[in-house]
Amino acid sequence: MSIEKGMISSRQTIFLITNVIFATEIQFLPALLTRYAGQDAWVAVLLAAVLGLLLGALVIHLGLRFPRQNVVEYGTELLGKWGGRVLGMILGLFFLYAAGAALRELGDHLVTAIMPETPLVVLNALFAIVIAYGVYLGLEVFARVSEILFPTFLIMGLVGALFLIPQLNFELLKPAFVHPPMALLRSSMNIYSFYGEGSAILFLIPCMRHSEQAPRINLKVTALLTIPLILLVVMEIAMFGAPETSRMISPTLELAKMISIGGFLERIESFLLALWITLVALKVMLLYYVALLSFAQVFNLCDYRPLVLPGAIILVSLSMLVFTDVTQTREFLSTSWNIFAITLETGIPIVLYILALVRKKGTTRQGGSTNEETT
Amino acid sequence: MRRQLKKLRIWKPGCLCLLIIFLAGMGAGCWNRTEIEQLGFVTIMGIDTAGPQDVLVTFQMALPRMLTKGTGGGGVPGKAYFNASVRARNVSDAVRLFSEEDAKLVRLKQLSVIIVGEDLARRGVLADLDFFTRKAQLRRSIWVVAAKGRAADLMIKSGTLQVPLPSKYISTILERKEILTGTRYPVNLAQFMSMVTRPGIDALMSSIELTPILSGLSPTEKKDAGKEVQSMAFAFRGAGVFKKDKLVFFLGPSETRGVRWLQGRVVGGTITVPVDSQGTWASLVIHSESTKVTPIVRPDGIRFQVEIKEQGYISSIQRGDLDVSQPKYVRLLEQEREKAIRREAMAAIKKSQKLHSDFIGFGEKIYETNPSLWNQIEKDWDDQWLPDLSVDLKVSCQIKHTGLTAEPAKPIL
Repeated sequence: MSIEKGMISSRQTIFLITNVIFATEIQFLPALLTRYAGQDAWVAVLLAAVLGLLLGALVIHLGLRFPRQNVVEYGTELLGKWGGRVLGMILGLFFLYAAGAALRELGDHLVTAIMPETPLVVLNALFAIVIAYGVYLGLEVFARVSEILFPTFLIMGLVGALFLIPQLNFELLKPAFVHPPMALLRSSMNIYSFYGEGSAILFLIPCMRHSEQAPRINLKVTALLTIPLILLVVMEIAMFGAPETSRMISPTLELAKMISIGGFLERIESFLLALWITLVALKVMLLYYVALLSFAQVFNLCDYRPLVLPGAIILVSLSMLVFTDVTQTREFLSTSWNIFAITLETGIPIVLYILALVRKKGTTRQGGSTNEETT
Repeated sequence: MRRQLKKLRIWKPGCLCLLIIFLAGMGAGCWNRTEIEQLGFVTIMGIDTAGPQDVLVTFQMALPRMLTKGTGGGGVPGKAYFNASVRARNVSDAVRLFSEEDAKLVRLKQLSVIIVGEDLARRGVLADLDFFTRKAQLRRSIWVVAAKGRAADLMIKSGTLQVPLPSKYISTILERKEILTGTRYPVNLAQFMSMVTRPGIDALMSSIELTPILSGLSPTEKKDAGKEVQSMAFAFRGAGVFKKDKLVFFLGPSETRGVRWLQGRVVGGTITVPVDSQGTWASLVIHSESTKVTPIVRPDGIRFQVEIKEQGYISSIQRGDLDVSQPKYVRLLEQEREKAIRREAMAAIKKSQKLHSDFIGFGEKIYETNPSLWNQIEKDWDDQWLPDLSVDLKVSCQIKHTGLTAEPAKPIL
């Protein structure tokens, strides 16, 4: 018996998963990409898209073998009772950690860029209240919110980008392909570690109204992630040049600050920033929800809601403790986070998938929609 | 049952009240909000040297009250700003010292122009511009200009300008697409930083100076003009050339347009032909232009092929016998125009070679097309390759129309 009774459509799943990756990757990532790959950063984005498609195919394939169960449930089936609990704890802690880190990035960004005198803990606590409330209301609620907010942000961003075109100098993208393949792969790993957060879809597939549509999500999510990121990276390089972009803390914010509509409408970045905050809040909501869900599963609770409030307090403390400063955040995101995240995000699905194949558990794709696995 | 209901009746409004109070407290503004009357808006910052290490930072503060005053009555609006100078170890320190002295909270969000003094620019600007790239209130679309002379001097003398707020005046001029003059080189902070940090190109920065608005008058005429002679205006004649981040030279207006020709960035302006003094023939308006720069790498050296294609029209003709209703005279004007453009472009190239500063960006063209070669020659580019660079300049002009009149009027004999 699944804990979550809400159902979401496949479009909502697309936006939720895209948002979980997109919201924070646009903040630091372009700077990290240009640090290793210079003006070839867009190639790294394409490389990461290929890797992301592969991971997506793996994860969705795994999920569809058990269309009415989430990863902890069939993990228990595959690994045994205690193995499943360990898996649930690992996943829960990982997603809680990712949620805390994302919350910290949001808070740090607001403190450095807009409200330098506001204490970080106040911002984080306020966001945590909203996030906890959203998670308390359930998956359906914030899935619907993301269906509204994510496209709005994309459209606003594109409109803003149109006004930047006259300032761009695309010559700065030349020469292409000068960076060695290893450097490109290195920076595509940076993106890939963010893409891996999309493996939260393992918890969403059983909640999809038509889970048989899940394979189609893969391509759409990848396109929704790759195209905006490439546009963003290209525009940043064409605006500031690759060396300058790599020095910036948040090139995307700097880019938004350059928007000037007809010379009289300026400071548009506040709108974009406000929308971006909601996106990050949604991201943290999903990660936090997934973490609570797997904890509830581990401890055999019949609902995750009692965990929301105590969890929120842990989330805020975690977000305060996870990094000491922005320099460390950047360093962490460009080095350790890759190894840490990729191991878990890719390793766990691979291990589970191999186990499912070996132990011949779960349905094959054809039987996916009729699901005889329902408990 | 009843008890529960009663409980609910108290709890619900109670919670709502608490929520409203909480939201009222939180929603009223950000943590660090200040009333607008207590804010001091910095509009221009001038940076000069003060001693071997220190800097002199001049703040031009807006006086919002004076700005609104002028709108009611007619006449010349009074100046709506004051200047304040602070000597400090660096810009950030100066801002701090200034905020300590000023009763109002110093706010940099309205800063739109940074004026770099000449002596500071010669010392190197990156260390002092760093503050502006870090500060959250600022954006990289701020204009940076290099003063001829001291920045503080320029800002103090801007009191004779007939404008209430010089910063607005400067940014309006620099933002304007150069319809009338292609001889400026406006650069904002983002572009300047990008040029300094990119391989194969040295930076340019628009120069700024004050000139009397009646500068063309003869001494006696000046005497008659009386007080108006003192009126000054900002002029942006040319650009400062940087080597790494140090100013080395100020280009003149026509050399600056030469750089723009070579970069394909001339969008307007007029050229008066012929360039050599054989009397004035005609003035021609530049309408559009495109430039193609191709490096040709041969074992014996590097050559550049530059193709400038320009289109324009006639704005005035001085000589009555220049019958532009006949195509051959139009061709003649086109040839003269090509000569003029060639001269401007060659002047810029010569200057670049003489100064060993690649502000035109030839090196960048090599980097773009042949990055491995560039890595080999990057170190010696400015000092060994650039001075001996040969450039094949091909200029082709087209006069698209002659304005609303064909041939010039001739008096009947």
